[in-house]
Amino acid sequence: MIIDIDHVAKLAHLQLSADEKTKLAEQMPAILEYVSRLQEVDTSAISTKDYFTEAFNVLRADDIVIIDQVEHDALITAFPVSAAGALQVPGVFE
Amino acid sequence: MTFSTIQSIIDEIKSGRTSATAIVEATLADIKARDGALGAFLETFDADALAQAAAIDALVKNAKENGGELPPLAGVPVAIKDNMLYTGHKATACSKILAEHTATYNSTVVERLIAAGAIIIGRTNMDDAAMGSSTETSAWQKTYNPWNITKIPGGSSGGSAVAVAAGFVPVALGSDTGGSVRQPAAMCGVVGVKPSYGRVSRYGIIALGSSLDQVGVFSHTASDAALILSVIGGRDEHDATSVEKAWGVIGEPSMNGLRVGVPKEYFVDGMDEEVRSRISEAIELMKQAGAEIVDLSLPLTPFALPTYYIIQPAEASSNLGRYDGMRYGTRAPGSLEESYINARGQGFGPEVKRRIMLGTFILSAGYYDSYYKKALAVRTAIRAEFDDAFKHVDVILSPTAPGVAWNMGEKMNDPVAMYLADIFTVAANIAGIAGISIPCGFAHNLPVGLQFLAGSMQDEKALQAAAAYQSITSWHDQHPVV
Repeated sequence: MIIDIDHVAKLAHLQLSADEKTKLAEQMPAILEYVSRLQEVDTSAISTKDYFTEAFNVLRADDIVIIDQVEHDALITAFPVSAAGALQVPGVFE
Repeated sequence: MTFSTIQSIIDEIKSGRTSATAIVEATLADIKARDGALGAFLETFDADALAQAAAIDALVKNAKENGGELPPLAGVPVAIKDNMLYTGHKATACSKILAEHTATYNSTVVERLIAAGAIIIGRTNMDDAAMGSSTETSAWQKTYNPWNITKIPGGSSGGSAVAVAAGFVPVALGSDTGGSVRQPAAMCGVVGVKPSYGRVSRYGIIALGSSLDQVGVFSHTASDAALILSVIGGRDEHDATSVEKAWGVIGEPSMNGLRVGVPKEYFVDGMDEEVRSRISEAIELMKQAGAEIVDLSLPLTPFALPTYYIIQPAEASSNLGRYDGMRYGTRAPGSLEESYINARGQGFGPEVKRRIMLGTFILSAGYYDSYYKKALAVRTAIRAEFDDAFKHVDVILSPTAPGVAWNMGEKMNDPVAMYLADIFTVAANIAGIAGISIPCGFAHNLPVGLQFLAGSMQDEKALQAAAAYQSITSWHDQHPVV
């Protein structure tokens, strides 16, 4: 199996070195070959469940929670870059 | 070094023979003196731990003078894995991308431990973003097996396993996505529990695979683990997958009449012969003590690990999408796109990159059906196979791992070999059922773990079986000298 490493890295937003790309080009097919043995299992009669939690339709009130200044400041301080009490990010639109 | 049970610590504090402050001071001094050679802890929370201890001592004094109950874990020191949030303290998941991340709120498990009087001693080493089976992918340090420091401690919760095995703390929390509590527990000779999916809140735990992750407990005895689970478990409005089910009390341990299923698929070719012998001896002992041994077949067993290595990377690649240097971690320079790519390229380690790449590939157009959808179908079948088996037996017994702790570095360049270390533990996460590993002897002078599985929400049965086994053996009383 040949995997387009550059394409997958682009989808994953990952910068990879040449060495990392070479390694992944070897290792990913080996792992995918190992997991491909699932094709041996006949699942034609199975109605697949996406999850197994016993919880069902878990809802909560859609209330606005007001946090105090200390908590607010702690959150802002935790951001890598902030300005004027808000998270600062690079421009999304050019 | 002391290998106390939780109950003995609580008794000492309640009686006034010792104080929480004395216990915390001794614990911190012990970690400073001995952990340099083991690397279990990344950091101890000295100031907060001592402040918590002083508060407990005040409660004890007040209870003595004016009467009143003490909280259930008053003065018990607990270590937490580095992926659990504790307000004001670093929580990095041992990943470079979260190097500077400080928690702004408490995880529910930490909140409940503190409310119950437990003292959070420090945070422990783990694999990078909990991806690994040996704790060697940690961005920060190595952790060594206390039974033989040339060996790995297992992973990903290796630091927490060692913190208990070496006698620093009587209990530590870990997280188990594919065996990350049970496998290191087996490698280090302690008890490790992975509860059923939904029995413990994951709020405030840095997510790996959201349909697989559960918070687990390391301890020396099953009854200590049960006590901790009764405190941290149950419904939490912050985790929609948590269920309203109180933890039952573990009764008088007895093997008598316990129906123990032994699936032949868990005794595979290539497993360590000495490990196989220890498990066979354990089965014989249980039989003599009155357990009914039932031969089982779980034909889908060989497919649990391939199922896991599709679902888990898929979920991990989605969960880790949030680490792009915008809200957490370190911002990389450049345009939005460049900033994302650089922050993630520099911040994630090799194993994390490998799984993000795998998960992204598996979920990409053209491959989703043949990998991800197929894995969900097999997962459904595996769960049905377990549900069926548990109609006939109370618990299922297996080895926790096919071998004992291996040499440091041995499997670092062969991802499939590393993944195979989890071959007996992943099924419980795939099916959402309960699992516990307990010490059952030694092979090659290293601990061997025995696993009990119980059906979904039947965790107490696994704990009960483990307590019964521990009541007729003393492996859990054997400790490494470090």
